[in-house]
Amino acid sequence: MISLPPDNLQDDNKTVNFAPGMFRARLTGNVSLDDATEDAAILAYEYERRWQQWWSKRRWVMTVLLIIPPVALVLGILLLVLGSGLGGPLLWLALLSLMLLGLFLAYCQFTLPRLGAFGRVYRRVVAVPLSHSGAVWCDAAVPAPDFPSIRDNFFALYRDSAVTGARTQPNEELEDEINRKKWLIGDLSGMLAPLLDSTPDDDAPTPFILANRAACLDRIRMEGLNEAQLNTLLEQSLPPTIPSGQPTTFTKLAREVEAYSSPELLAKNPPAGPKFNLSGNPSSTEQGLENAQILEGEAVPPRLDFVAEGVVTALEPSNEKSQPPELEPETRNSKLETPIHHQIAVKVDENLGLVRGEIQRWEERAAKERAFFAGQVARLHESQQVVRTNYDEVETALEEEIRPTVQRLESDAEFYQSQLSRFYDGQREVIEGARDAALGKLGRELHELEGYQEERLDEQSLLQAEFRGLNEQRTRLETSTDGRFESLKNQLAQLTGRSYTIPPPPVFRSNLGLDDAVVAPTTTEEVLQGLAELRAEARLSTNAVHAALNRYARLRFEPLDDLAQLEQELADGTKWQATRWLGNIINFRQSGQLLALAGEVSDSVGVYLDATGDFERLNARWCALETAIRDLGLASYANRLGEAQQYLVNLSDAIGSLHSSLAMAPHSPEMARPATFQSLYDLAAGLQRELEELGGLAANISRSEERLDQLGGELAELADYIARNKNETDDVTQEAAERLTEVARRQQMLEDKLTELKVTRLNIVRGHIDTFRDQRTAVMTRFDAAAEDISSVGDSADKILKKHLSRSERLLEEARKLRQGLENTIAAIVEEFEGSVAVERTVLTPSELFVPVWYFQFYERPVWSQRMFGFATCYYSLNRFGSKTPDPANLPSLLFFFLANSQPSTRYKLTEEADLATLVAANQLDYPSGRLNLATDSIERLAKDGWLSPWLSWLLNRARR
Amino acid sequence: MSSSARIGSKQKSNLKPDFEGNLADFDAAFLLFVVESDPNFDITLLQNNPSPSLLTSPVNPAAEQMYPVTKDELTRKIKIKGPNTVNTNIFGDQVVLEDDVRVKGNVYGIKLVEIGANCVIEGDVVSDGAISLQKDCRIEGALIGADVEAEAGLSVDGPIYSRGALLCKGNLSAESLTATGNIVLVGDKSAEVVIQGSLIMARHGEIQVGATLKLAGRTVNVEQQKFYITQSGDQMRLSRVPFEQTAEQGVLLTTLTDSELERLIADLAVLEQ
Repeated sequence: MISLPPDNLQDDNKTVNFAPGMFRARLTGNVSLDDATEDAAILAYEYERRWQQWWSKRRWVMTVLLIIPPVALVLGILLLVLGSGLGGPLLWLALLSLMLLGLFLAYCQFTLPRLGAFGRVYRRVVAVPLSHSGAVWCDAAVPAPDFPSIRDNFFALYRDSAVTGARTQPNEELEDEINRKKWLIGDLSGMLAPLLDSTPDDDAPTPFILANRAACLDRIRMEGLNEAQLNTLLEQSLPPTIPSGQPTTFTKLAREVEAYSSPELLAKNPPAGPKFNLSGNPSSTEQGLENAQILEGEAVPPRLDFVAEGVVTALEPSNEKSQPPELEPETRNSKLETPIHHQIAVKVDENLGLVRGEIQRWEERAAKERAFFAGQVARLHESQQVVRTNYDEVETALEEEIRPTVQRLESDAEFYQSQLSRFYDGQREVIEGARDAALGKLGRELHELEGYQEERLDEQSLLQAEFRGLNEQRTRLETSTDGRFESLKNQLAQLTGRSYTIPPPPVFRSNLGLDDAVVAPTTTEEVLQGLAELRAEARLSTNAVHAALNRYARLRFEPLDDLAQLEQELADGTKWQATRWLGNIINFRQSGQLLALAGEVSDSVGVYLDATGDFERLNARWCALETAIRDLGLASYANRLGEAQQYLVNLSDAIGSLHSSLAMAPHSPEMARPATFQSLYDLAAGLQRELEELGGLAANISRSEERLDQLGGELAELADYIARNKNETDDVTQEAAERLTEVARRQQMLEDKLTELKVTRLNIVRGHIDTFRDQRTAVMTRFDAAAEDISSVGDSADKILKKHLSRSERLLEEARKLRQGLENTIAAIVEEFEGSVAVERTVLTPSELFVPVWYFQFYERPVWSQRMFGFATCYYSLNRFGSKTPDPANLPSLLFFFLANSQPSTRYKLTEEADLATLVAANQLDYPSGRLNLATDSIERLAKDGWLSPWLSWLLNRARR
Repeated sequence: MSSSARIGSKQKSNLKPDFEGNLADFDAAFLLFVVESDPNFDITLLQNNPSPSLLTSPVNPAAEQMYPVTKDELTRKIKIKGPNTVNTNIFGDQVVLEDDVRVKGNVYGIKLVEIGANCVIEGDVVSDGAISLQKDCRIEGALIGADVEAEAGLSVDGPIYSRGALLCKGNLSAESLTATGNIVLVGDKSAEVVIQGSLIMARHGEIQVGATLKLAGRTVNVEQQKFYITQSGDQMRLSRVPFEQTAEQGVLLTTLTDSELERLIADLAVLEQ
């Protein structure tokens, strides 16, 4: 920390009467201004910063709006002169841009940042000189802790604890125990009562500013103050409620703390001297140290004496006898070396130790009481044990008395029991014998019946197997006979029905084409010969056909009719009806005739087929001849050719007759084979044989069925017998069981009664013993209750003593806590204090430093949705640079400056001090709103002296309105 | 068949009582039941018990035996005239000792114990009923009864406990004194009641002290050291005046505390809250 005499203080030292210890912080720098001008400079500086920031966002709009109208105007006029149609719109554009510019200027007019509030206030910081040279900075706004009160509490604790525990010591054993308790509890509570409510708060704020935080004060210049200036500053300082006596309080507090810490140690190790001296005036430091020694000698009394006297004074009126030995004159000197608070702590601890010893004795007493009452309960239990033994003896004697009677009773009961068992066992045997005999007879009968049943069942199963075989055989024969019958019918039908076709009879045609086989005659001779051969062959064929017709006409078809009749009969009836016709088939005698008939028919068919073939050939030859005759022109042969044709037509007619005869007669070529008839006979014979067999099988089947029915009846009868036998067995068993149950019931009833009578008798015999035992149980219960009563008496005593103990323990604990708390509080304050003491201590007297803080409040958009922001800050230097006055006096230069220039409009630079602002809590100040504390012409003066441009001056004046 | 007849039954030759003719009744009742419930039963089967009689002669009692050994003796009053010395325990329904009897054992009377003047009991005196003691008796054990009434000069080496009230008319010394009912110590100022314990208590009664009372060697100031006590769970409350809201309260006299100390502690508890 530097304490520089201000420049004007040094100059006007002789003429001005400075208030001692009162300083204000001044800005350093290469110039010195009076307060009003300084305020204006600071306002202009901050406002320009603010305005530049605002303007940088809007500059380009203005630039564009300023460029467009002239350009558009010039272009428009040019184009108009040239006669182009675009000139008009361009002029309109220029006009529109001008209107927009006007609107924008109006907008700027309204939204330009304006000043809401500005001014300077002072925060006070207090430097307190310490008794042991040096000083410590304090914050005047923070109230000082009530350190003397804490110290007084500590001394009060010492004073009040002086008698505590001493009166209850063993050398005063004559006193009553209850009185000792009263003293002890009274002393403890008396010691604590006034202090309980005023226990210091551990985290109370302290006004001392730590050395590292106060270091920024070194950078500011201090200026002495006269009374008038001081009064002015006091009006401007914040907070306005700081009591004027605060520095004195701080001084006293610092002295107290110094005295309470270990001053002897400080005295032995004085500070090693200033490590650096910003003032550059070593003599002032030495002088400060000397003055500090003087101050220490004058202002601070010998601390131990002071404290000890205070304590003695406090103790004297209370009780001279209870003066603690530590404060006796001869021992006081030995304690001089140790800090007073340590002495007090030791003394209080010793007294509380005495209290602890007394409480220990109470605990021993309580243990003795517990043991005594436990002994009483044990004594009662002993008596209970003796009484129990007596009861046991009496009970044994009484049991002995009734023993023979009980024995007799039990013997009788046992005898009756055995006799009952004997009688009822006999009865049970008889019943069981009868039952077993009946069951044996029934069992034998059942065995026989089951034998019969088994035989019948075997036979039945055999017959059933046979029956199944016969049935299968019948089914097979049925199928076989059906098949044979069907095939027989089919063969007969085939035999008797036509089963082949014959080609149709040929017809003469004159237009047949010549085929390769027929060679047309080329000469007349050949024609003539051909005609002759044709006639001869036709006659031959006609003869053959006629011969066949004659033979066919002589054929007899009766056997075939018989066969057809047989076939008809078979087809109409069933196989069983066919049996009578089968013999006819087997004995069919006309098979030879049928064979001959078949041969004849076959021959006729052969003639028919040959004649047909001949006719085709002859017809072809006729056509060849007819062609040859026509080619040769042998008209004379036409008759002959007609004749030949007539022969052919005759042949055709004959073939037609033969065809119609063959077609009318039914017959089969199979008839021509003897094997056909043989198989027919075999089929009929087989069918006949199987049908006979089937008839025999049916008889067998009906016999088996009859036998099976008979067996079924026998088996049902046997099952009925067996069921009856079993029912009878069940009846016998049931009856015997019922009788046995009845016997058992009677026996049980008698035995129960016997037991009941015995128990009843025993109860009567033992009645007095049971009563006696009940009485004993009740007595023992009452003994237990008595033990509980006595132990509850012990509990009551124990609780009384415990209550005293716990209460005094708690008091003692609180006393210890209180002492500990006081020591901790004092230790914390001392520690904080020592931490905030700077190494260089050059302030000689208590002094106050007024630190200026400037506050600002700006409005933006002051007309609509107003935005306001404010802040406060500290500066420590103001430097002027350059000498040329910025001169935007006329409008063009103003406009140019307005558009292009971003240079500051000020010719000086201010440096902010953030640490100082933090230290004095500038931003938490409650500065006045809406007031501009600025001298009226200060801005004009600044502009006039060339500190800032007239443009800024104009802006500021406008912003103030 | 006659059910009550006991044909050929054994003759009872024992000296012991057949308790209320029980055996004959038992036989008769059972035979009757058998005849009624099963007429087919052969009743002759039940008529001869071949097992021998097990009745035994009674054991001779010891020479001196002061407790009941038979049913008849159970309700008999034991009365001992003095001067006399009894060398055994006494156990009886009611025990009455006349003057100058010395008992070298315990005395137990189930319903009553009366002890004459100048008796010495070298053990406990216990009763489930009342106990009364005449002048100048000495008991070397405990004194436990339902109601205890003692004349002056009683000295008990053990505790005194009464399930009911306790009345003492003069000097008394004992280890401890506890009663469920009232404790009344009457006598003039010269009469002195000396109790070794530091606390006497009437659990559900009242304590009245006429004589000088010393507890644990200290004279009791009844005004200061008599408390009414009530307990609920683990909580105990002491008061100089009777509690109004609780019927379950006792009275204690103690040298462990006094009313001033209790008041101080109560004030302290209020202060702490």
